[in-house]
Order: sequence, then structure tokens, then C-alpha cells
Amino acid sequence: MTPLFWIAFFFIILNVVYIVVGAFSARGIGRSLEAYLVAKRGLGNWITILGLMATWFSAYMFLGLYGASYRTGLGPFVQGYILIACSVSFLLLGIPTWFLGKKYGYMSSADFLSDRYESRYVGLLQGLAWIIFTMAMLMVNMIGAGALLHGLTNGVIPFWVGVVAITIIMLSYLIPGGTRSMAWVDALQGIILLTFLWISFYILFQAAGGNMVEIVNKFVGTAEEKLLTIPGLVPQWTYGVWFFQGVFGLTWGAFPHMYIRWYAARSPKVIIIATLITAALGPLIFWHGAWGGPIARVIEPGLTGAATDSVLPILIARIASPLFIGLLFAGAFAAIMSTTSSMAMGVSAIGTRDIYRAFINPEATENQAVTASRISLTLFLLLGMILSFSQPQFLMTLGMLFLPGDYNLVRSFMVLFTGHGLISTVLMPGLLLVLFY
Amino acid sequence: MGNLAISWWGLHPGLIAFIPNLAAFIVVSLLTPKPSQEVVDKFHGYLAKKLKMSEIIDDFKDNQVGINE
Repeated sequence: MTPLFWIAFFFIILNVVYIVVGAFSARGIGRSLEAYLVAKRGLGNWITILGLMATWFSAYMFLGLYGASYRTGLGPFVQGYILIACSVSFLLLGIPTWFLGKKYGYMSSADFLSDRYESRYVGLLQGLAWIIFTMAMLMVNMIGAGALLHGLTNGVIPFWVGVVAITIIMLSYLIPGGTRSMAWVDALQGIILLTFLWISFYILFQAAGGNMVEIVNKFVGTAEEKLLTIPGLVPQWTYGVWFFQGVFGLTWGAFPHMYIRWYAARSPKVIIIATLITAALGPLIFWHGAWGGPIARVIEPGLTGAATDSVLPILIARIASPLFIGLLFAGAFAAIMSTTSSMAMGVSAIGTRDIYRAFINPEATENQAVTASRISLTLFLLLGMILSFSQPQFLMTLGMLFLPGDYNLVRSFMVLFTGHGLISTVLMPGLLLVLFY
Repeated sequence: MGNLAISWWGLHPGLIAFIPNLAAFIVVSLLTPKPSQEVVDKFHGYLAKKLKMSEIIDDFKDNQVGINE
């Protein structure tokens, strides 16, 4: 069997499984918005833990991370360390958010702000900023899906097939079950991606000799010794980068696709346990990628340029059976889909609560609100699909300028801050664009 | 605007936006009326009560969450 066969095999089988699991978990959710958007606030420990990890880890774990550590050394481990900073933000935001959501019925990341600042326009403004930021990230993930399928099949499957396929598959399980289906499929995808990630690492490790001391000694005393230090062979991962990654990590619990999980948790205990396990396992999971590059260098030292980002599939294709290329693809595609589906649900919640219910139809019945949520989800995913074909750099820049707006949720728990203060921060990216251009 | 990309001394656009974002929030908040007592009681007062360590420990005891969901 060829790698193409195994990629197609896992692509079809696993996507059918995702759709079935999504449909199964959608049973009995009824027609209430709380059930559709926040899974009746009933998600437990393992679904939340696996979902957090699946959402957090994208295809970067299989491709970009190996490429970065191949080129620079152990520096990319910083991304594992910032998971600890992220976990702090999960606790700081997640627990108060859970209490407020339970007490006042909040479901999106912006509807709390509307109440806190006594203006639905504040919620709308911040919600739109989050939609722009999240759509930029969603577009990148969809581009990743198309590029992954196109790249691993050596161009046999066109880019657009991956993009259209991931859109249709996500719609097929998110429309019926919303966040509950997302959470169950995410958990399954979390298991798949973590398993295949470690299998891939194990194959590389064995091919490099299977002895860490020997692998390290191959670099000691050579020109590549700096691979084992920080900032590394190329001074990319400096301590300044580590610091700022940590600062930004403190905002990540406020991303709409993460925030929806704080509302959906069954209790604060679930958030605490999920956060602590993510903080403990995150660095360990990034550890494999940080070492994966240097280990790959032992096996294949000559890669340069864009080929370094594909070092894992290149080596797996050479040293393992084609079956493992299929597994690698399945893991990476699961990682992309789990992240993208959470983003889609996050922006759908904002579209429903902070636009539709706040402005278009405040008297909407539960039935109408659920329908609006499904329409909103579909529109955002179709928009993401279209954007991934045009790939506007402007959207990426604008999205990054709105990134610090994630601090607004943390600030809103402090009495000092006012609605005018929040509005000024949301309008700041526009001012920056005017000043710089 | 297809190729628009902000880069100020090579800094990440998120970092460029971070400092004015924080400054604007603090300055504008200091210059505008504080939230009403009703809002403070509704959110900050409620959270101050719920986020006592004893409440969280009680929640741990009360919520024996299963592993299936």
C-alpha cells in the first residue's frame, strides 16, 4: 500500500468516526441555547482536559515545531513553558467566568462585558474585535488543512480539497450538536493526536539510535553544539522572546475558543483539574518537539529552507512503513480540526448572543436563537473557507493588533476599569493603522 | 491593502498594540466615571464572596465529577 492509500484511508475512516461521534453526542440536547452553545454547563474532567489539549495543539506540533527545533535547537521548548502561563490565565479567568456564567446565564466571551459595562455596544465592539482576531486564526488553520493534504500527497490532492473537506466535516457535526459535539470530537481528536505524536517521536528516536546520551554526544564539541542551548544555533528564541511569550500566554484563556470552555465546565473543580493537568503535560508534550529537531538532524543533517518544516513526514516516509504517513496525517488533521471547530463555536456564540440577541432579535425564542446560532456558525465557517483561498495578510495584521484586547476580560474583574477605557482599547488598532500607514 | 504588515523595529504587531492598549485602558478609565455601586456589587461583590478558598474547597467536596463526561 502506498502512503496516498493510507492517507485516504485514515482521512475517510476518521472523518466518518468524527461525524458519528458528533451525531451521537448531539442526542438529547434539545432546543435550548444553553445546551447548544455551552453544553448545558455539564462537561466533565476528561472531556475538558482532552478538549483543551486538542484545541491548544495544532498541526504545528507535527510540522512547524519539528522544523523550528531542527533549525535552531531546543529554544522552541519556550512554547511548552508558556503553557504554564496560559494555565495561570485559565485559572484567573476560568473560575470567575464559570461563577458569573452560572449565575447570570452568560454564554459568549462578550455578553459578560455588556453587563459589566452596562452597554450592549461595549459587548458588540469587543465581540467584533474578537471575531476579527478569531477569523484570522481560523483562516490560518484552514489553510493548514489544505496545505497538509496537498503536501503529504505530493500535490496529488489539490489544496482546495482539504479546505472544503474540513469545512463540510465540521459543519456536519457542529450544526446538530454545537459545543457538546465539539467537545466530544475534540476529546477523541486529542487522544488521536497525542498518540500519533508520540508514535512519530518514538520512530525517530529509535532511528537515531534510541539512546539520548549518544544523541547528545553527537553534538557536543561540534559546530552544532549550540543546538542544545538557549537561544540556540540561530539566536531566535532569546530570553526576551521567552518573556514576551509568557506575557502573551496570560491572555490565552480569554480567546473566544478557550473561553467557551469555562462556561461549559460542570464545576470550578473541572477547570482547576483540567488546568493543572494541562500545565503539567503541556511542557512534556512540547519537550518531544523541542528534541525532535535535533534528533532528526542526527538522522538527516542536510535539510535547508522550507524542507525543514516537513522534516517529520520526510523522515517517517523514509524510515517507517507508509502506514505511519497515514497516521501522521490523521494526527495532524485531527489537531487542525479540533482547533478550528472550537474557534467556529467561539465566534458563533458571539454572533448569537452579542449580535443577534442583543440587536437583531432581543425577543428571540430559544428555538430561534439556536437556529440563529447554527446559521451564524455556518456563515463563519464558509467565510473562513473563502478567506483561506484569498489569504489576506491584512486580516492577519488586524487580528494581531486586536490580540491585546484579550486582556480586557481580565481587567473587567477589576473595579478600576470603565467601559470608555475598554472602548478606547478596541479602537486603538484603527489608530495604529492610521499612524503607521 | 493586501500586503499590509505592521513591523516597528521588527516587533510583533501584537506587541506593538500591547503598550498603547494598556496605556489607553488605564488613562481613559481614570478619566471617566467609575462603575456604579450596583455593578460593583453584582460582579465584584459576588465574585469576592464565591472565590473564597473555603467556597472552592466546598465545591471540590460537593462535585464528585465522573470521568465519562
